[in-house]
Amino acid sequence: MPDMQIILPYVFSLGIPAVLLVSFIMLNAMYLQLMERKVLAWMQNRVGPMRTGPWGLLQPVADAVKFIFKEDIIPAKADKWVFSAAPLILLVMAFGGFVAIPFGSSVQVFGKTIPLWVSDLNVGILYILSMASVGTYGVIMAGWASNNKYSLMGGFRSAAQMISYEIPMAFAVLTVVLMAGSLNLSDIVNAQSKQWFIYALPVGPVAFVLYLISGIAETNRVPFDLPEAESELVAGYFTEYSGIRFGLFFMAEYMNMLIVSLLVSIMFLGGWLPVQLFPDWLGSVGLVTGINRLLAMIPGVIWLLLKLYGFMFFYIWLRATLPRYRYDQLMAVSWKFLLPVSLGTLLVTAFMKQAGWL
Amino acid sequence: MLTSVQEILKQLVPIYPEFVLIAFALSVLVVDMFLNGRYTHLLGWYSLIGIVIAASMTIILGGVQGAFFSGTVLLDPFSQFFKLVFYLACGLGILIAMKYLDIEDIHRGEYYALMLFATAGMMLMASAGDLITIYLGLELMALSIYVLAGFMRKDSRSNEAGIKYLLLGAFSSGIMLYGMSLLYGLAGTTNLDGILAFLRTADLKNPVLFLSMVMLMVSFGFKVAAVPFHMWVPDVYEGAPTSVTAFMSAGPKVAGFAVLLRVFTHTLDPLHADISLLLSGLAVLTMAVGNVMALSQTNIKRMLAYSSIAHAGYALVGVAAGGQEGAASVMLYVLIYAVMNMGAFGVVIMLRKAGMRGEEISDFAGLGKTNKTAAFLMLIFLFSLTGIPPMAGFVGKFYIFKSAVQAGMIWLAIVGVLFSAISAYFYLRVIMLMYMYDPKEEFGLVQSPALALALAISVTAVIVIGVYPTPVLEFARASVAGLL
Amino acid sequence: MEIGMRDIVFLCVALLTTIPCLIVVFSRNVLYSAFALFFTFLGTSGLYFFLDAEFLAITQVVVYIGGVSVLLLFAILLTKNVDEIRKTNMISGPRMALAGAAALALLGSFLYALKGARWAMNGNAAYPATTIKGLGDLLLSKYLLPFEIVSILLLAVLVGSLVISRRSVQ
Repeated sequence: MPDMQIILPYVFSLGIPAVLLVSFIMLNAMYLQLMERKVLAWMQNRVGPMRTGPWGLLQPVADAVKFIFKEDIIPAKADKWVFSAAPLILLVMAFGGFVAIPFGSSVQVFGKTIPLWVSDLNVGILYILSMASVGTYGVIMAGWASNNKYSLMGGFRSAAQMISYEIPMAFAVLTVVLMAGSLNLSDIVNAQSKQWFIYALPVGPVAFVLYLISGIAETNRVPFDLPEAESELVAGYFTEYSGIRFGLFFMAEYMNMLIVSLLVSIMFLGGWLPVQLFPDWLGSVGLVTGINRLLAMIPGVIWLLLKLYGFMFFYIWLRATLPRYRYDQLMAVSWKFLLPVSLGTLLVTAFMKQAGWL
Repeated sequence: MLTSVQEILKQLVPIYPEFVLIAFALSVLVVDMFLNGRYTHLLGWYSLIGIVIAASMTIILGGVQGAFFSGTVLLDPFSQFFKLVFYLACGLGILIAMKYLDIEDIHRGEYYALMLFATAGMMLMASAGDLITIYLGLELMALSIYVLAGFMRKDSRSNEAGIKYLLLGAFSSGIMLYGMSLLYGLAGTTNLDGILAFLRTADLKNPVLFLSMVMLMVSFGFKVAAVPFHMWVPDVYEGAPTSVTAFMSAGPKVAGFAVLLRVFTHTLDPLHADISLLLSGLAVLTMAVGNVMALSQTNIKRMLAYSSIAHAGYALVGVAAGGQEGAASVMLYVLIYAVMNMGAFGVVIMLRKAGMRGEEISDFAGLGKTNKTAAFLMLIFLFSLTGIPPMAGFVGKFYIFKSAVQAGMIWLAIVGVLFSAISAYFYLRVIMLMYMYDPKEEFGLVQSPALALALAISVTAVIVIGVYPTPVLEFARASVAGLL
Repeated sequence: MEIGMRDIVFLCVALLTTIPCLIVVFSRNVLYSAFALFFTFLGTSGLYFFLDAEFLAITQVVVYIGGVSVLLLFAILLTKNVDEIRKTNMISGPRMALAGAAALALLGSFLYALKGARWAMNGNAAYPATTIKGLGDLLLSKYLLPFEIVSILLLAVLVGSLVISRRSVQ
């Protein structure tokens, strides 16, 4: 029996956050799907899933059961090993990204300090970017291993797209890093206590939009969902996947969306910092400070989640609204527009930082 | 703000020549975008202006000495000597390329930009004071030349040359980096002077030290095309556009010797005994393989490729001999070699015209009857390559072997002389073909003012240095004094 | 000798680096080699983490996995008939034996040389909590010039790759 005195601190600093995180991710991956179907339905004047449970609330459970019990088919000519490894790589990398995300400053429960992160990496944001870039690999592997031309095309498209959009994304992130002076996500949030980076004129909003666009492209969502364009490619790189492996791809996609939304909230919208209806410089007018104080009483995690689901809603909204890009347009947008703009933003930010305007 | 800009410019002074070359390379790229294809050759002249400016800056900076940028760049007569050789090689390379590129239909601005980038890389290699600068300069040079070697995209031999050079070059870079990292791990610094200071007190029997030295020798040996790291040379020299081959045989090889001298006779000087032994072995092998293989070649570019291997062998004799005299003789030799070899390639290029490759040795048959000037120039260059007085090649070899004798390596000098005698066979065979045989068919040679200028420069240099080598030798000796 | 947690982790990371390496070399299918390379890079990054060089580790992942190996896969997949094993990885028996012998000899000499090596250690100087700041400072002070040369180098490479791959001159 190991000494409890040694193990206990680990339970509080690592174990509980990890368990919380995993359950958070799994629940989200399941229920975001329901959210997507519901929101899409409402936008199209439908009701969405209604039969399973009250208002269709048990639909994700039904889906999960279906995924698990469906026959798991590996095509005869597929490469068995690579075929099965691909969804795992995607999923692992998506999980890996969450490890470095802080959901708030640590909380006190029964006198014990429980951090709201699993690992507060010094290079947190770079780490998350790197996990996203590794995901590309899984997509190509899936596309190739299926031994299906649509899959291969989808894999190619996806990889090319992810590489292209990683670059403006990285520059947008670098802009934030420059403003905050740190790669640590907690530090980035704390640096926004005076002013959220989205308000840091003129570069903040630009970087925000850049990040948002490339984030959506990176997750292969509408209007950048060419890798799985059903009208041309059946379902892209996961055409041949069925059963739980297909479910893994699905989960990975939602998890990546979650990460992007979380990062947008953390990098530009102050993370777990409360919304301040009126900025500080208005002075301590009675009512204003009162409202601000009231808002500040809401726990940070709630604020972060609110922002997060706001962006998830935005994702779905886009899907309901926008048509798909053409492939050459997609590439042109990245290389000819986003990349120069993001470089310019970074340059301006550096100058402003040097001049002390930020 | 203004003062800080001036301050920055002041700090840049030691690297002004490199700076100028890179600025010219960048402007070549920009101008090329807007320039009508018919006027691309103007970019060649424009690049030459850049080279002349950079050269004059190097000469002006001649008095400045010391380490700059935290010791990553050194300014000393040694590096200045080599930089002047590089300017010469690059200038000649551009001059002989202009017409040739038109004929091959690959005349594009990037050619000149890459030449300038490569030259800047070589200059950084020569004046490197830090392993990192050596590596980066070498890569800048090598990557530009990989592309130049594959510049004829529609020619499969050129593609092969590019790819072969790239693959093997990357491999040798890897070996070099491994050697450098071992050296860094031992010494705790990448600075050359720091490493020397470490070695003065270190245990020289350390096998890791030996390992890293061997690795550096392998990779530098690759760059100067020493046997057994020469496998790429014939194919790459044959496949690359002839103007690039000319430049490649002079520029990177000389740059390789610059680094070889700096690292092996300066930084790793405490290991001199081991180095000398290994290098003399390499030198013998290189001379043997280069000269013997050249005997059976039918393609003039391949023959010159093996001849360039052999010449690397002669120069290695000087490095192996070491000491002030050895280093100075190597410097003199590489200068002479660069000039005469580029001259020879200049004549080869004259034979290339639409519908005819002009790369077979038999194509030279009867040249002495159809075009007396070209044949005579080729005669001079080949005599010089053989080492027949009063051409410069003789002077170069003489001082190399003399330094070997002085260092007590008489056997090495004898071997060198023997192989020189063998080399006479394949050089003189071309001369015999030119003068003793009748032309197979009537053909005119390609001529252009630029080419004529290049040949004039090289032939003058070959004869002047051959007749009166003292000033150049003194310059080399003075340059080397600071190194040791 | 006591085997701690650290040693076990190190062993795992080292195995993750070396075993895929063997697959890279010995696989008869070039695509498997490429896929195995992925794990090697991952393992290398793990080794850097192990050395507390977190920035280097992350950069390794971003550059080598996200960039290099994905491009590698692209190149392989865009080449015709690449999974016809006989065409891509043909090494004859005698050659393989020769190469193997050379490699083993090299390995032996490395092991011999590195066994008793004494490296330059940084004494007992405190290891910095984060390496990024130090790296940044060094790049813009002591190694400013190499840093700038790298930019020129990359530009030259970019120009070169365009020259090679551009569709046609006109």
